Amino acid sequence: MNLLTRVLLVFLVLAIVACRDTKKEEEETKAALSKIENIESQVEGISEEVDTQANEMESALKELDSI
Amino acid sequence: MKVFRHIVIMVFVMVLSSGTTLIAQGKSKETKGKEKKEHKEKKVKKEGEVDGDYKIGDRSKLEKEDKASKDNKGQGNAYGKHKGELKGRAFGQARAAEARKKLDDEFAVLEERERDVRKGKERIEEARKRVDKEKESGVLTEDKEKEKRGVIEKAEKELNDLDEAIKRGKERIEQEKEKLLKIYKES
Repeated sequence: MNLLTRVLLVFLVLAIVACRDTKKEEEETKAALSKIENIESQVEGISEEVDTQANEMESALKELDSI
Repeated sequence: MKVFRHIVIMVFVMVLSSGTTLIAQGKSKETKGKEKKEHKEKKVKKEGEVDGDYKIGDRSKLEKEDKASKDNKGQGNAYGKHKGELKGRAFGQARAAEARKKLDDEFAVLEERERDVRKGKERIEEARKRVDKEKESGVLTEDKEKEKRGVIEKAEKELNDLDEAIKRGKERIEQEKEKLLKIYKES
């Protein structure tokens, strides 16, 4: 095995390792992002529930003022 | 041996060429990220111009406009993609921080709602006193009194429902905050 082949082999191994690391990191980030999105959708659900309830309360209070 | 060298060189060239393609794709994504960033900046400017009074059962105009613009234009938050110049782990951390801010904002809104509930209780108490007074003075017929007490009871029920929803919401937000903290630490 001459020097050129050795150098190329080292580069090849480095390239493969670098790609694998990036993929792993990307997968971790993707998983974290989906969890975060899930949390945000939960928060939206909470705010919608409270908004609906607040609107109902407001209309009930308006009715109350008219008596 | 020669064949082996040829194979190594070919694989190396292939890896190099695929790397170039990836970089090229990355650049186009960056451009997209910049466009989205600009769009967000414009949105922030627009929001800065808006101001209005807070009403019970109504969120601030700012939040409404934000939701409306999302619904109409279909512009998301670039979830899962590049966020400005951030990539990978840094992007995840930025998104987690953004979500944390949303949770804090929602918690603040719920506290505002609690103040509304307290005001509502006062209004119900005033109405109850009014009806009692009218009854004592004899201007109120039995049917009318029943009707008015029914309205008061209905308002009281709605108020209690809202109070419960706020308590549930606060508990859930605390839980979600803990989850987020875990994600933040893991990423």
